[in-house]
Amino acid sequence: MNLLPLPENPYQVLGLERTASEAEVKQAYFTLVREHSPERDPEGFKRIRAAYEKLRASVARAQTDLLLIDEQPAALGSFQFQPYGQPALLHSPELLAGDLIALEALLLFEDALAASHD
Amino acid sequence: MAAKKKKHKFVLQLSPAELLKRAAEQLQRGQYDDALQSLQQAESQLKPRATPDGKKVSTPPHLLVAQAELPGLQARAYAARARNAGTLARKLADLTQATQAAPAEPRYWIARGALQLLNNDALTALSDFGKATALDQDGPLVTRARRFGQFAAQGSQTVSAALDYATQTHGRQALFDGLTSLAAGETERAQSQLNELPALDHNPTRAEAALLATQFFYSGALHWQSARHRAALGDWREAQRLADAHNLYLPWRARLATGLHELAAAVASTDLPLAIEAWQAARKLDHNDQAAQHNLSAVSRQQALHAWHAGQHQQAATLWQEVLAQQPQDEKLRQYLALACERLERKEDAITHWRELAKLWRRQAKQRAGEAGFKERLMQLEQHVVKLMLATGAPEHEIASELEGALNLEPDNTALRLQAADQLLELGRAQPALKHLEFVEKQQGVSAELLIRKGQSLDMLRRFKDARQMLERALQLEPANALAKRSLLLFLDQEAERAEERDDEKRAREICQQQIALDPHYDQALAHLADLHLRQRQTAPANELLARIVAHNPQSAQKHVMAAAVYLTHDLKKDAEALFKKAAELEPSVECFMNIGRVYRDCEDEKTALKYFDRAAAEGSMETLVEIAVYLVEAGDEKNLKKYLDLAIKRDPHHPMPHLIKAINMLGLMGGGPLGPLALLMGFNQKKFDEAVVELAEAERLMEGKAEFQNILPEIRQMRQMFEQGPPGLGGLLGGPFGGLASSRGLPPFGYDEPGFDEGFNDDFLFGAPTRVKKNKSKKKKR
Repeated sequence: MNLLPLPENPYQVLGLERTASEAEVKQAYFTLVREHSPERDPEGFKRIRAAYEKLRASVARAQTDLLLIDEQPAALGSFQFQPYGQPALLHSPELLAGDLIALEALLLFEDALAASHD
Repeated sequence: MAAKKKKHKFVLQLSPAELLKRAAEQLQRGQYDDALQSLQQAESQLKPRATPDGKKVSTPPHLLVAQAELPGLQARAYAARARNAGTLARKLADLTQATQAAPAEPRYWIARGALQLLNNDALTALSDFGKATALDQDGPLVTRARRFGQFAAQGSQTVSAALDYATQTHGRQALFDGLTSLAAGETERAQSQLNELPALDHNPTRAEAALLATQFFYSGALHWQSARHRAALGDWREAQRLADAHNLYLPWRARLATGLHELAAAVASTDLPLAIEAWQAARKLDHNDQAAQHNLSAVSRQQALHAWHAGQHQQAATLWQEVLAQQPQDEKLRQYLALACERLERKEDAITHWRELAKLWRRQAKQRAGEAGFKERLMQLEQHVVKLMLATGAPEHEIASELEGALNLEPDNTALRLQAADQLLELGRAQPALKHLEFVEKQQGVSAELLIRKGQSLDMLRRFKDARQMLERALQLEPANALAKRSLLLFLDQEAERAEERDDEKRAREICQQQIALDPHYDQALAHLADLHLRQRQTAPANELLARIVAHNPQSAQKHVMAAAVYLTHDLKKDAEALFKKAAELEPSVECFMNIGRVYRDCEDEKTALKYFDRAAAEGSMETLVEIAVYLVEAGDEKNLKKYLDLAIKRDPHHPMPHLIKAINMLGLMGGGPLGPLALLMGFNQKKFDEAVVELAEAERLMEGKAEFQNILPEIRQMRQMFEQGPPGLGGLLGGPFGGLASSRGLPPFGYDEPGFDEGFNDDFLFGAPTRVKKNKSKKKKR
């Protein structure tokens, strides 16, 4: 399948968050353009300009947002886990005693009913 | 209403003895519910009966045996169900039934007492054990239960006491040894003792499974403590598997979920697959574990993003699809999946997901009105969906409904109305488009663009006068608007054609003049007007107009060909040839030679046409050669045809069209003329027929796997199979499915209008120009 390359993420090019305001977009653009002027870095300028065009007007930005897939996280597993209640002890003398009594109760139950079916 | 007749249903009724027998069998098979139902039926038959005046009816002797057996069997059934029940409450309820059915059986009291202890109800447990003691003072099981009851009821048992008790009762076991070491703080020793599994030569009983599962749980806990995560997870999964398989109620199961989650969190950043396994185990332990579900989804999303950016789009789509099934309201997932489907060329699926997202956003439109960019995104989405639907040829009503949905959201959105109008115009639905345009006009007033659209709508509705007025108004409003001028010129082109159709040359002339007034270099109008003059033998004004065409761009071969075509149509060969010669000099290209050839072909000068086609063929593509070949098929020039088709095959050996045309030609011209009844009567050329079938088979082979030929492939195959069986009979040729082969064109009657048949070829492909200009006869100009 001959696929077109995926569009470049303009937020990444301008070093912005997806939630950046219009003013932040503009500021980032002008800052970068100063560093990558058309004379000094024509390719870089072109890239920055293209990214800015995708974000400067609300309609263009809406289209960009609609067709953009987030960048991948730096590492897999680097996300906020949902915790499972409060951390609890897996064993303690009390829990162990309780487990043994429960185990004996279960064994007694099983022995009683197994015997009744012999 | 008449009372319904009661229907008698005849059901085979089993006797109580038979029901008891059946219940015993069902118990044997583990069908506890069925067994209890059978016993219930038996019980209802065995109930003591009374006469209407209240006197007791004695039980017949044959039922007495069943009556005596019933409670014992009921108790067994309840007890068996209790053993297999999934919850403690259910176990207790069944055991209570068992004790009621067989109150003189101490084992049921003991079993219920044990369950009461598991339920942390020591007092009731002691009471149950007391009842068992009253029934069987010295029985070993009763003695064990009584002793255990007293031990458990003390309330504050130490680990060592519990371990002593367990060891005394069950003898030394790896589990108890390990737990003793653990209680003494010797974890390494405990671990090695717990790792020692008993050698079993049979499937473990429930009691054995309970001991083993507990051993695995503690072994896992010690592995976890020592950061041996994979070993911990392995042991815990085994503990869980045993407990699940035997429906064991053990308190440590409640702590297992905590352990699994903690383990997952600990390894997520270093060993994600292990974390996933742990969350999966937690979800298996409790299907409603929201945290496990959330974390698994989050991981899948990350994996999907990684796969996407690594170019593994299919894998990403699969992962997003899986997570979306769990979280169908997640808009980002829906958006990503739609994009992935588009990327994978699954446009129908993409549309489904985009439409779902649009539906979701429309519902949220009011509450998210204040969210930055939300409205714009929704509008973009609507546009995107409609664009995709148009591209995939979605049903018109669905496209219209999508547009309606968007407009309902924002009825005053004029931009959307304009878009809707444009899309409706594309669908050919001019009337509703016009309504939208009139709405916009009321809201915003007129503009050139709006008037152009209105003109297009009115044109479609065949309200030509109104359409012209609209387009003229547009140009008056904005004289510099190029689109307005172009739209009016194109509209006037059609007006001129309509005038020609009515043979109204005067009107056609007026239109041409109006067009030239609008644009003095408008070639179409200049050529048409020249044509009209030549029809009246007014050579001088015609020459002047045609010279203007060329003079506007003297280096354009196309302009020369255009002017020459008008001369040739009126048989002014010398003038035409001079211009063609100049065109060929200016642009000696395949396209230019083909264009000149086509003009000669349309004017039925086949010899000169072929001369130019020959020049084009020298460097022309396979498509060019095929076009020439088709022309030769029509002209019946078999001699040259083979040369061009062989050359076409050489240019593109993988294209089926040259082979198909070869086959068609051979079948269509066998016997020196079109294949028909006469041809058959005059003689049948077997060799040519066989060659045609071979070419057909080759065309079929080359069409395989090429999407653009899939529509006609079955017909080609059917045709080839038919011919392989032998030459078609007279009946088949006259009226059979391929009867059209006898057509004068010698081309098959199938597939012409099938999509894909002429893909990649220009409009003239296979048929030549739609209207052929006759030498000296045609009064119509070609536009």
